[in-house]
Amino acid sequence: MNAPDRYERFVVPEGTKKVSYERDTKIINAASFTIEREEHTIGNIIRMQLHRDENVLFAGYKLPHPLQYKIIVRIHTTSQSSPMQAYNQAINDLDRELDHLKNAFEAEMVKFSRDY
Amino acid sequence: MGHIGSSKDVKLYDKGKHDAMDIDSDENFDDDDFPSNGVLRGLGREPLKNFCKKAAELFFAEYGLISHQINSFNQFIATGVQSAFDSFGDLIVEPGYDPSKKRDENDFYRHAAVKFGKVTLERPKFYAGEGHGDFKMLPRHARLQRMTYSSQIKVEIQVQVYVPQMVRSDKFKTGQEQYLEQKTLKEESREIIIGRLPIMVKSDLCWMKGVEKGDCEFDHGGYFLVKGAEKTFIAQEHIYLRRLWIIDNPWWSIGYKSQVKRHRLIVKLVGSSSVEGIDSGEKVLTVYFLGIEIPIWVLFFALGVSSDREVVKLIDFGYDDARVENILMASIRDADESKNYSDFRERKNAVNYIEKGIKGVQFPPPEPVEDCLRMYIFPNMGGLKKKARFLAYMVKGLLMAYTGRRRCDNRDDFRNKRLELAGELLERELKVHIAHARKRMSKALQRDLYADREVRPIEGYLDASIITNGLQRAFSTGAWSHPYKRLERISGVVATVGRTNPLQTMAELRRTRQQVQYTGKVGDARYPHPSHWGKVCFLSTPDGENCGLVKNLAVTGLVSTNITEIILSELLDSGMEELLDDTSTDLGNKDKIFLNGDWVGVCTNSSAFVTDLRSKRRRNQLPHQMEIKLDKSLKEVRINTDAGRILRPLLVVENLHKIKESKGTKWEHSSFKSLLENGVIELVGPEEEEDCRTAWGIRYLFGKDGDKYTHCELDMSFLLGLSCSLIPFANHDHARRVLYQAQKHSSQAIGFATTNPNIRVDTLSHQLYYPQKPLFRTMTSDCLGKKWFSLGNSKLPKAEFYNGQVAIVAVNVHMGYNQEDSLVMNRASLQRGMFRSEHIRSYKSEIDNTESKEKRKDNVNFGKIQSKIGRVDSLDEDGFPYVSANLQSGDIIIGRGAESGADHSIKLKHTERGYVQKVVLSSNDEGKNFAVVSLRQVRTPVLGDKFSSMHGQKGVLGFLESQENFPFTRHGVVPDIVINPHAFPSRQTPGQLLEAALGKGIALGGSLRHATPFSTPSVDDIMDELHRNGFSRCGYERVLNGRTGEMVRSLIFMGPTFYQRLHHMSEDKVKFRNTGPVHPLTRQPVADRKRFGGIKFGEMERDCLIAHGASANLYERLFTLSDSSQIHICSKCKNVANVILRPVSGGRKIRGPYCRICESADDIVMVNVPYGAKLLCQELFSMGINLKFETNFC
Repeated sequence: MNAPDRYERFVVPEGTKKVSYERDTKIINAASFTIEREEHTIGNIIRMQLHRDENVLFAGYKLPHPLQYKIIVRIHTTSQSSPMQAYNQAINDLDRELDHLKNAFEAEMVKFSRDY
Repeated sequence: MGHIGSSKDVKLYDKGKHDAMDIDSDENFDDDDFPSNGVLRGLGREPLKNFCKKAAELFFAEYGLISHQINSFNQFIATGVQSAFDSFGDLIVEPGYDPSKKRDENDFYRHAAVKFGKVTLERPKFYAGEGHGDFKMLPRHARLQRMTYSSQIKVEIQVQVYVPQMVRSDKFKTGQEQYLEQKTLKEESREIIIGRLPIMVKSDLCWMKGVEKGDCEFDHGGYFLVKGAEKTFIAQEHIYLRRLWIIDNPWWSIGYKSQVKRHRLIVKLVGSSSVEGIDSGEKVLTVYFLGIEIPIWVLFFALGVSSDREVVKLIDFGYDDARVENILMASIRDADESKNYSDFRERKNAVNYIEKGIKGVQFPPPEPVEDCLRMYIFPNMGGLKKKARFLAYMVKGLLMAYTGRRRCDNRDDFRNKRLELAGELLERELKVHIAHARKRMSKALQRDLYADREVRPIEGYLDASIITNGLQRAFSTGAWSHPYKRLERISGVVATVGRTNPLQTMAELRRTRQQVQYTGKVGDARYPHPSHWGKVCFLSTPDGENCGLVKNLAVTGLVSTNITEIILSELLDSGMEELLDDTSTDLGNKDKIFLNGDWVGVCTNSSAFVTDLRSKRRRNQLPHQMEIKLDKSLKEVRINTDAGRILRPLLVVENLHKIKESKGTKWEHSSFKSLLENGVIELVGPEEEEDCRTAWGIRYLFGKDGDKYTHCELDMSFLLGLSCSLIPFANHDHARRVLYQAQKHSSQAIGFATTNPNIRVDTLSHQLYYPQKPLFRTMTSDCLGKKWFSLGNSKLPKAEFYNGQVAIVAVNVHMGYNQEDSLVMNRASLQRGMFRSEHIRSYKSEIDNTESKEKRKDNVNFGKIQSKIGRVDSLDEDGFPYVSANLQSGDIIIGRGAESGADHSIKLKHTERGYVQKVVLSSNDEGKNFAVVSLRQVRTPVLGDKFSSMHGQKGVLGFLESQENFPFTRHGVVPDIVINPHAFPSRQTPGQLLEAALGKGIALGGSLRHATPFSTPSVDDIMDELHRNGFSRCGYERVLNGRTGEMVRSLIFMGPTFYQRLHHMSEDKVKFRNTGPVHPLTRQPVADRKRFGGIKFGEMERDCLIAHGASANLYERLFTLSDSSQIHICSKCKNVANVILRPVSGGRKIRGPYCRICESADDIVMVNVPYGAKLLCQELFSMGINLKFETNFC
């Protein structure tokens, strides 16, 4: 009846950016990233990657409301780094890790492809 | 041969044993398998269990679930209609005597006598107009065309028009000098149509009886079709009148009851009042009948007893008790000393005293006193002396009760109750309307008896529409005639059949109801009584005002019909001596025998007599429905053959050996009838059941005291009602939760209501898209299965009584979205089709038939017209939308316009929309053409929809979660539904957990499948089953968090559970508005959801705001946003100044507020008041009360 359209969950509306950055006004080296149309799948993995970064003092994400299809990732780093830097690095690292995973998987697939 | 046969049996039983082990090997009874009962020797427990199941299947195959409705109606059309007409005697229409017309001594006016004869009923037909003749009317015609499924009642009517004449005769021959003789002028006997009687679907007169392919697979008949609506009777529970009722409050009395007031007779034990105002403490017997109360001794002598000694002998109290002797002595003295009854021992005097009494009451009976004694006192006992004996028996009963040797009767005991069904109810109603028609006929006929008039054929006087319309109205409005109060109507007799699911339909046909005058008089009727066992369900009853008054028949409960065959000769054969019509013979120690409450005879050895009768009944020499009760304490045998007793089948333990012999040789137990005829099973009534020692399930036969039982139940769950015995593990749940499921949720669950949606146009119907049957089985659902349901060896349970789907349910919290009985569902499951349902709403529109002769001025016709009230884009030229058109709220669904151009179209309400499913054009029997358009809507579950498990655990959908965010097990199983663990502790429904655990076992291929109440598998067995399959014993699962992928530290209980979608959906309830229609009188917003109304901000809400001190909010809510309005006040005189048109100097007229009291337009201020306040002010003003308004500037 008044439920949001189903595509709203994954189509980024026109005029909004996929990721927006907002610096924290009170704490230095802290910021939150709003990622549109994503949820726990991305949020969790980014958070875990950020936790590996020793320059990150705090990393967390939240899904503000199940009907608001966005997540907010908040990062607080030491002065050695910046939230933006930590975020980008985490994304790049994840990207490579997933690539590696994919390649390893495909290699195994080829190895056993004859069996199937 | 017999030997060979029996060896075969052993093999068969071995096979049976093997099969049964598959189904349930759940019972770990410690005692050995060898029965202590001698009869059962050679019969193992498993074969007997299989036999019980087979017998139960045969029982349902034979009787079904609604045999009581159909049998009762069949008996009505076989005998009841005729007896309803026969109950009216000759109607003699006397002419109106006109005093202005003089007549001679011998000139009599014409009289007429009308008599009903044989009644015939046809099968339902309808008249298709001239040249077409009659057509078969099928139930589907009636349903679709909104007609009444009825057949004509034809009655033979004898009319005789005669003139009474005084004839002189030879006094020597006839004993009279002159007498009246009838000189017949005209006599005719014809069969005429007297009305139409609604016919029960699948009764003997229905076309659908026994047809190969019915309208609907799930339809078992048992209801009526009245103007297209399906109506059924609720069985009416009332007390049994043919029993002597002993009560001790307000005084000791024993009553012979009857629906006819003049047949009632009460013997009372009252304090004697020989001295005015002083109770001497002595009790005397008096008898009350025909409106008079006299000493009982007078009545005894009037009935022909010759001496006091004989009376005492007749009473035959049998114990030495000073109290009784005192009462008898006092009663004699009471009659003796009274001046009114001197010499009453002379029979003539006694009769005279009675005559004097009954002629002195307000409405004395017209008959002479001898006839009164004969007809009104114990009308079923022929002979005055027999009546005297019966009276003495009543006195004895009263004295026994008074001295504590007998108990008073309990009105709530089921042996004292009878169910009134279609037959009795229809007969009663029909009689009312026949009486009405007769009265009208006699009035019309009387006018035509004058000399200058001609008597027309009888059809002209008997209006067939009186009975037709009368019955129809009774069905439509539900106001049924009162059992004995004339001109009074009762409600709650007829109900519209619910079609949410087949179970609801069936449960409604099995409902009973007890009428009470007002709630204060109920007494203990609402409480379960031990006599409910096996007859009505003690769990399924509504909560609230009807709690305990509305009941449901137990699943094997049958209702007896009247036995018409005469069994008196059989009784005589079995050793009964007939009761002699004298008062002198001493009955000695002989036991009394009563047939339907009438004393018919005595016998010397009552236990032999009863045993003989029972064995005859078991050999099919007496009707199975006959009930034989041996009352040892009262030394009497009571035999009942009347209608309305609840019977139930029980195994006869002493004949169980026959099932062993039966195989191959003597008889095959292939039908329930053969089981009855061989006495393996018998139908036991409520009173006879008191004599039986019944084992609750065969496991008790094999128990410690196995040999003390005479009877045995077929299954332990058969004491429950239909909707109750389908609940798995019902015995593990709190009774209230079982009640919720059995009474509320099962009837609200959306299911597959009918297999013929194409030939139905219900205003509202639902259908579940992918109905499933549950994993578990219960005895009832197994036995109700039809033959064609069997696939291979294993029989599938009948699915139509389960309405829902099997969901994987996890018990866990889910981010707080399943708090307070809400539940979280898997969005992916819903997108795969879980709990998707279809909702069809039909819109009907009628127009007058243009072919009818009289032409009206403004003919309304279907057609597409350019409407101003809504969109007509989807309409075709004929005014109907094309099939599959998508109609939105506010669109025109049926175009209809008058010739003058007026718009009569039907518009969709703002809450309604959907796709056009079908368009039906037809006409009904009232000469109107009509069209029905059905709209279909498919609904997937959305937030706020209601669901329930089978254990009274209802909840609304709180959140639709994506599949990936649910916890998952190592097998990748994701729950469909997550419920909150807080649902369990206070509600005590471990049954649901057991169902989930058992279901998990079944899904893994386990062999334990039965969850029949009271014979459920033990927790240990269920746990073992899970453990064997490599799962945690308790049904717990190790899960991984769907969001993080981490292992969840705690284990989660998960298992397949049967869930129902209930028909309360948020789409039908959502209500909102900012501005909208207001009530024209009060100018406040309307309340109705359909009319886009608002939500009431009531008194209690107002209290909240006051408590918060939120006065501005309150002001806005109750004034600005409601009925804000302005009035003018004259600030000088504080009265209301109305706006009027008044002349001012210069000839002009101006309109404005003007105070008529001050006669000025100055000092008038405008104030804001609610319109309601203004209205009140005006209303008070109109009554002469003036309100003054103190005004202030602010």
